[in-house]
Amino acid sequence: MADYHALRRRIYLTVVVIAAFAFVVIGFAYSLNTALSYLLGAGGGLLYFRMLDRSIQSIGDGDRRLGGPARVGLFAVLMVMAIKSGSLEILPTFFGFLTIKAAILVDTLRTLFGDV
Amino acid sequence: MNDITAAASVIAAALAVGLAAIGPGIGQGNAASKAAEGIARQPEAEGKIRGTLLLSLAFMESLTIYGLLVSIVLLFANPFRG
Repeated sequence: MADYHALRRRIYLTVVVIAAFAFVVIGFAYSLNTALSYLLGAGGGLLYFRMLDRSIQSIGDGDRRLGGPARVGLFAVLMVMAIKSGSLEILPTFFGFLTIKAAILVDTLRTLFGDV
Repeated sequence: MNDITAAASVIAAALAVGLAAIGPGIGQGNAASKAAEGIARQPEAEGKIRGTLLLSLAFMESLTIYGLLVSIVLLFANPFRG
């Protein structure tokens, strides 16, 4: 399980670094509202990843389920919040949510080229 | 928004999220069952198996999320409303 915990830690760290960097860049290039929308999405993505992580850790416990509407519901709530709030924007929130995928890709590439 | 556009948007939203959930649902079920089998056979590789499962499930679930995004946009920020 040490491998798994190390992977989790690396991905969390990568997400935080990417999100912080992107927040600053978006804040300067666009507006604070856009940057905050991105940050909201990135926070939601982190929460989503944590929920996925806990589901995967519970595999083999017997009565626990892997799926469930909670993770996808989190995304739906996040997007509806961005749409209905008026000050937040949809696309930055969505891209913020996708930061977790970027972090996974970065980690996979690092592992791939680290092994060579 | 006229009635036909509203009805078409609701049907499209339902189809988008429903169809987008089928493939990832089957894929996630297969991946999780194989991972559980793998952990049972090789408990010493548990960390690697769970890690691979985490990454693959994250990418599989993004397909459902794309469908959900389309349906949310159709329902709450419809670009075709007149």
